[in-house]
Amino acid sequence: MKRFTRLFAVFAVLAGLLISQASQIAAQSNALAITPRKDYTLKPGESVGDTLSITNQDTTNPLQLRLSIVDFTSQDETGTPQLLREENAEPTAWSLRQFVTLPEQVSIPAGGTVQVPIRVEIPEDIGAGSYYSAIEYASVADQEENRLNISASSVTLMFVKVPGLAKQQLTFEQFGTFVPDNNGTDGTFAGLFFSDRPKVMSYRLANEGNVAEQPNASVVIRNFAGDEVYTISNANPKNQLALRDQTRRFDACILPETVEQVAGNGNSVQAVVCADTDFTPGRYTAELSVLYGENGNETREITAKASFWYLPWWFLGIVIVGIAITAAVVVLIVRRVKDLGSRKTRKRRF
Amino acid sequence: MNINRPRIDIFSKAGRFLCVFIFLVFILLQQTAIVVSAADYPRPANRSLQLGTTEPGATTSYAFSWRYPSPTNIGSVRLEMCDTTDIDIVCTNPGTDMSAAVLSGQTGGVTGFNILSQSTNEIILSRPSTGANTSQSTYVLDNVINPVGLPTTILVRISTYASSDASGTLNHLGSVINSTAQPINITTEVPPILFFCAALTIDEWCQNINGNFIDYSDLSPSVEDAGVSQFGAATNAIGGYVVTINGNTLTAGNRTISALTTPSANTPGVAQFGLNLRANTSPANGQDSFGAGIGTVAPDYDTPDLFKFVNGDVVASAVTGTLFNTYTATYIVNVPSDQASGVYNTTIAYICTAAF
Repeated sequence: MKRFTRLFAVFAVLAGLLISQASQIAAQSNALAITPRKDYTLKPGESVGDTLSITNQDTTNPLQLRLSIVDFTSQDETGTPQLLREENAEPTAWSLRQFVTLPEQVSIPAGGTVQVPIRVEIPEDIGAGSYYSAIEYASVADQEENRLNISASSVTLMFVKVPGLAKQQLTFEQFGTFVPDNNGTDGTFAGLFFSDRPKVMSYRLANEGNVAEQPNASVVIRNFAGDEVYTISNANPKNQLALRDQTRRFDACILPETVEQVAGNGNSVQAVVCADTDFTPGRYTAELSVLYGENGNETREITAKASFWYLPWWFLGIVIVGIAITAAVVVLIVRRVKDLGSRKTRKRRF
Repeated sequence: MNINRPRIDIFSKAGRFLCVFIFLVFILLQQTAIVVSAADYPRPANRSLQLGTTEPGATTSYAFSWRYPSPTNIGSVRLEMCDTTDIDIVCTNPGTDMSAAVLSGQTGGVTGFNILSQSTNEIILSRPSTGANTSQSTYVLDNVINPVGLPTTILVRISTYASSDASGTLNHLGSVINSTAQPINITTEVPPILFFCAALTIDEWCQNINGNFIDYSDLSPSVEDAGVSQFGAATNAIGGYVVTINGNTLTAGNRTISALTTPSANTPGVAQFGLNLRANTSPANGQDSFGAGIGTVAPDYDTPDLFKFVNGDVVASAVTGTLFNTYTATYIVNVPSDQASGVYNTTIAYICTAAF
């Protein structure tokens, strides 16, 4: 009987442990708030210690995170990073994987915040340029039978600039008025606008250097008479980057408007939206001026010109009617002249 | 007597006359639109600005270097702090202070300058007007104070003149660029934060979330299997966010249920695994995204009743800072009658990143 009681006790303890483990997994938080980007300037041989702030947004369940460093590149011509998460993936030429140390796992209590220490050590023999990788925070999930498990991950993009003589080379690809699609990430360049007025100027630059370039640009738009009608003094308002080997499209609102949104819980964000422009019908010319160059490097400049027409349907209608009236007047005049000529001829014959 | 007017012939001539007339007017107007811009001035070549340190707020040296593009007379140089690249736009100082700067060195082909005048925003270097040569010249100003705070782009507009007091017609015009570095600890601003969560159900700002798996039990070729989960995101980062789906289709060992690589309708009895982020009628699951934010669903996942799954695809994004949006994903899993038996499972990781 005693033996049975002991066995039962051991079984109960093990079962309790398993159940508690299982409930811990089931009650795992998948909600986090992180710092989305870190930037450092470090000379060869320098190192820096910093912290990453991670908050468990879930006020009920703890958050278990696995931290890892993954390389990334650009997914397209926008700022969408493509994480290179394949196991045993070769480090990229710009990888920081070898130079960053951080803990592998972090536990955050419900509603809590932790400061995760990280260290970036740049070797002595590294060349000047940009180096970048991403720190991925993956919530720890369990795989079960016939299940589709849902996991949330977030990422801090980490950029290190190593000063010195670097290869800086942006090549101009395209410049003009741009019509973004509904979600604002893609769209088309256009030169003719028949209904809506243009709102966005875009330019594409190919980065063939070894620096993730954040170009500084401005655009001046002139009307048919050469008068300035709009100036975009900062045509890279989101401080966007052209990564190494990326062709990047930079968009700038012709008339940017900063809108502050405030949520019910007091959180607020500033969104930049493109307000309606007030172009009058006609032809416009836009001049782009781009400057870039890191400390200790030559300043490089790119200039380009583009033109576009705003010809709304109502204006085209007026023009067509105007042309028709002018044509009719010309025809009438020509006929009258002919008539006069033929009358004179008839009189002479009589 | 024939008095019929040759209408067609006259109209055709008038039409041609009109076309030529309009064309000439157009060319004439086009010519009037040509303007002389500041951009047309010759640029100093091979120009650069090197800062002694890029630390925000530091007192440091600014070394300007360029080649004069032609051997014209040079009597003065204006160095003007700017925040824009276009030389037709009026300059605004981004925060550099040159009021106490001293000219500590000048080397190269064109030297002999002194500081004629200086203020926070600009310095005028002057010398007796003489011919310049086109070799590289460098001028070092000490005691310049960098802009404080966040990383700031420093643009300096360089104008050269034949006169000794920076008056009269410009000879050359161009800009150099540099920037201060990101300080490690920022205490003067609200830092960017990215909020993100994924679960079966979530509430606004992810404070209450429930469930992290969908249980399909036994998959049947005659019955469609569908489930839903939610994710939500918000950020004050000006570049917005991007959410991607990552993972594999449902697998059991080396057996898989084919993923829909293009948006496709739900067809029970055919091997299918996919998802979308809309309110659907077949199956009657899902919900359109909602919330105060400006986040949008990627086009391939934004059509009701069409489903897709490709590892790494962007499913939602916001192009600028945004309040919270909640997205509801509907998953379909269909199997044919000859689907190999097994225990199928997968993990779908939603990864939220800021745009760079």
